[in-house]
Amino acid sequence: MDNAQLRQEVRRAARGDEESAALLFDHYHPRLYRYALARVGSSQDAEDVAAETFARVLRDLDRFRWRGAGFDAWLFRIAHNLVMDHFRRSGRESLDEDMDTQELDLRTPEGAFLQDELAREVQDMLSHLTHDQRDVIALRFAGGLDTHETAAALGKKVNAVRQLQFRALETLRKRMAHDVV
Amino acid sequence: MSSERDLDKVLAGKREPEGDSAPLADMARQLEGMFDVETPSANRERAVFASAVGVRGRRSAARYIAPAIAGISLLAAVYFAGRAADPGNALYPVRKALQEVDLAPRPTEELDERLAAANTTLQKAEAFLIERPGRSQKLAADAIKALGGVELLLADVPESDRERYRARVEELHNNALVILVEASVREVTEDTGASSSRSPGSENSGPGSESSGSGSGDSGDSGDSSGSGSGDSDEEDNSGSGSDSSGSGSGSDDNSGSGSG
Repeated sequence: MDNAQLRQEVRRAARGDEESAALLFDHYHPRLYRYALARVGSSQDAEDVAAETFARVLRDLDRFRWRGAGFDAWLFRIAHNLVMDHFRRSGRESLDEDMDTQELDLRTPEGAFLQDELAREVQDMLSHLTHDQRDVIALRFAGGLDTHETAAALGKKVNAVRQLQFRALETLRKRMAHDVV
Repeated sequence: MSSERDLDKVLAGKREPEGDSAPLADMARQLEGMFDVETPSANRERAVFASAVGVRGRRSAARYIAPAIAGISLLAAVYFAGRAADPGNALYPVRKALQEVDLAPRPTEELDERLAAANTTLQKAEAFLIERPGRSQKLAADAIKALGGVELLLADVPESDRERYRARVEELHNNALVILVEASVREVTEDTGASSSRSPGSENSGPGSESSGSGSGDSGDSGDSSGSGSGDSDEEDNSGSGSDSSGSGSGSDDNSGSGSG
């Protein structure tokens, strides 16, 4: 979906066009889910975050204005805030070590179980990063935002995001090299 | 900072990876692969979201239409009321503002319209003078009332035109008074005639019949005057009453006095 089409679909959805709303859902739901999974580490919580993000979109779409980084940044900022809420509720994000000790929910279906396992591996890896670095990595490589959109979603400067990205990738590369050795 | 920017360009596909950025770009590709998991089906959420957007759109349309209609109605009401507001009215400033942008008639246009309307009313009053003096009386009173409103507008007329309009207002005002008085006289005379015909043996029959006699004579004159014009010919018959309205009023009272007495 190019920028012009995206603008058109967002405008139509804001006026109540169901088809455009469905198109936007199809376009963004997978990205939101992956971003949320990368951050919260549980498929069920990731689904909740993605669904809640669309609920917020529904509520606030009237207030959205095409300024700065655009719709992607606005949408992922909502998702990011929901992830932060999730961590506040669970009181977990502040303890990096807890990422390693998460228990899998064995009642989940097989697919979700596998995803949770994969997500756990990702969480293990990301646990070596700072909060800000995790935010940037998740938005950039799971959410598919560019650095400008990531900066807007996080309320940071673009150079700060570039720096966080560079350091995060460096840390992860060193860590992986260390694990291999 | 340049290596961070270079890496960003490499990741955006704007530059080939080289030097330090190459292993980091590889790391980024690996991460993308790790995050690229299959998304669970969200058909229900999709349907709920799409239909909720539809419902919300219909509601918000209704929400915006109702205040818009109310706002437009209010503006229209202010416009129409303000357009015709006389000096002293709370909406008169609105009228002045509308005049500035040619959305309300200019004072001279308004005066012309009102004077023409008053003149038409007076012509009707004159036409009814013989057959229906009561109706004529009411129309003349309406014309006088309308002319009172016209006088308020004179202040807004340019000085060069003001005297001309004032003279016309006075002329119509005097005509209206003449018709009013004459219609009153005729009405009283007719009432007296009717009561005397109902009781021929009463004391009022004498003067009543006199009044009735003079009334019929007047009506003949009035018939002439209404045929010839607005009041020039009336001047002869009504000179006593028309020259001085207060005098005419007392004359009318005299008549009614003679009728009732």
